[in-house]
Amino acid sequence: MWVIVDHSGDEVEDIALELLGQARELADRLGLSAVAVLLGDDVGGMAPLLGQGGADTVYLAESPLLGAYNPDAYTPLLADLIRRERPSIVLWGATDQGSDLAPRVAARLGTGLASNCTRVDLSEDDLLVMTRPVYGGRASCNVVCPQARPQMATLQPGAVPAKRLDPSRQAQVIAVDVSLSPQSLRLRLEEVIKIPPSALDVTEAEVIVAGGRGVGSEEGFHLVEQVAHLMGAAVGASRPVVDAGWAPYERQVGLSGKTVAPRLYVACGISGVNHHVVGMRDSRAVVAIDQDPQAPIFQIADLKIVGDLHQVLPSLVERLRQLRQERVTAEDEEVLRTLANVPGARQDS
Amino acid sequence: MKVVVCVARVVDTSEPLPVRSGKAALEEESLRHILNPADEHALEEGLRLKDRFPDSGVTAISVGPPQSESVLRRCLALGADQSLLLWDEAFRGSDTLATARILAAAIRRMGADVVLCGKRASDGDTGQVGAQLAELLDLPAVTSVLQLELRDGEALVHRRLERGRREVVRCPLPALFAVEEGINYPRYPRLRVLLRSLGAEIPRRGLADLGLRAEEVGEEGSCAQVVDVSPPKPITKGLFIPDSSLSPEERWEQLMSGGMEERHGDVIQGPPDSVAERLLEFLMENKFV
Repeated sequence: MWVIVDHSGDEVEDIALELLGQARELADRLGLSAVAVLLGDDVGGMAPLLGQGGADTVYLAESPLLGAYNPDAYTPLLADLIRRERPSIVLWGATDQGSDLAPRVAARLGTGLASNCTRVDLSEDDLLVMTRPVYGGRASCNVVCPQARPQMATLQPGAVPAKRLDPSRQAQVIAVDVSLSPQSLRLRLEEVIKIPPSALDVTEAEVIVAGGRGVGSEEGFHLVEQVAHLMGAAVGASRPVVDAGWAPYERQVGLSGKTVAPRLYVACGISGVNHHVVGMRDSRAVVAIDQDPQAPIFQIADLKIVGDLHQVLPSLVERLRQLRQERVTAEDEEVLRTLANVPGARQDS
Repeated sequence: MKVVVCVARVVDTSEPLPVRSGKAALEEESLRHILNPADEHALEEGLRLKDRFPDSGVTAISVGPPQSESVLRRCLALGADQSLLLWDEAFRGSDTLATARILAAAIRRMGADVVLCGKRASDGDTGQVGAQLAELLDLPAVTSVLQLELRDGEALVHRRLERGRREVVRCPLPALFAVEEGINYPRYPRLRVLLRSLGAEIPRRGLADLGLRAEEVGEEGSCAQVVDVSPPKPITKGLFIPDSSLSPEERWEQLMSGGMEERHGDVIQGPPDSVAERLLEFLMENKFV
């Protein structure tokens, strides 16, 4: 029972812990051990956390060549490891890396893969049943892989809840030999470009601040943009705002615009007609600001603010600005404190 | 330069689908079919390469039953030079890897400098065939491509990552690229070319032509099997107990929706400053700022 760990280079991604929780549960039911496979450059520090998350064993492959994700390095390494150790099930995150890597490894091994699963479970004869959406989410299908091994699935982030960490658990760490030559890497990573959140496409943003008819004017919409900027969020708009020319069409959320599912959606002056709501109802958290307490947007809001956005938003902008300044000074303090503790930098009697 | 674009005929998922519980598959042939949207963008990217390098040829290939001729005709109408249908009754029921095997066999015979495909099919939505095809052909490959630039036998590619990041990758040719829908705006067909495409002969290759064995493809050659298809269910976050103060009709509605519809958030009212303060608290509590 394996989990291929997604990480950012310094930190284990949430999806890896979600998968480990799921793997632990399935492993216990099948009487298998749960194994986390960790690839990267100098990532051994994450192994204890994986143990607490449910892994019995951590396979650790470290090499400077594994620093950034490169399919030419990861694919042969994992395919060889799986061929040698013969896990019966391998779970991956349906992330940038997992979605690219899992099909490649499946092709090398000649086994089946179900991608973007929302659920995995065991059938009566202990086969992995992988549930995934098809036809644009209008249906879901169950997939099994009866003959070939391993059975492999990529799971969507957030599909299974992460289990609580158990600090008493420890995993055995096994180092894996990495025999890769730099010449075998055909792809070369030049750079990673980070797009400022305010310019980011609404479908990719984690936080969206959107304005609707209630902003009243172009100046009103600027308030929304200010809040978005200070929160590091993308700007969204409902159709009336786009029709009025206050926001460009690519910012429009809703039936005739884009469908989004961010972690947080802040709706400012959006009444919440159905045409808009279908475009954002899958957001994990919704904050709504509107003058009309009966506005339908409040039915789907986690935080309902009844008030005039022209007064609330400037006040929020002020607070966010203060917060930023405080944070900057706090960070400075932190650096100063660390420096003060560096041996030799300052002598306390 | 030889450009091969892999395209697929898919169910138009923007139309209502008669999905019934427990069936192994939809009665797909009764539904409307279209050229897979992502593949149309892949074709457009191929045509743009041809615009830039005029000595290029663009071939559209597809694995699918004879009805798939319609999407190949569409590719010809949009400007592809040639098309090829890969079909044999033995191909029926192929999973992604078996499909990739069929495509790989065809591309090996044709040769290609650039292989293009869509990131995912809008109906099956696996997003696997591109990466698997590259492995079988042993080509370097980049998936989720948002920008493609060819220069001196090399490609400079922008790959889409999560959280709005882009990766710039340098990749030698020949290579495979699986493109995202945002990469370009597909062109419209020209009337003259469109009319010509309607009468075009579309060559077909089967099992023996491609040198494949029956056990490598179709249901026999597929590892992953779809057991059943059902309407999607909401993921409930715990046992749902309907609110007894509601009318039976509303309770029934709540049950049917999985109890996920309405969110009972806190209502906040008052002077703007205190409201903003509470909002900021909420944002900080949940680590949004």
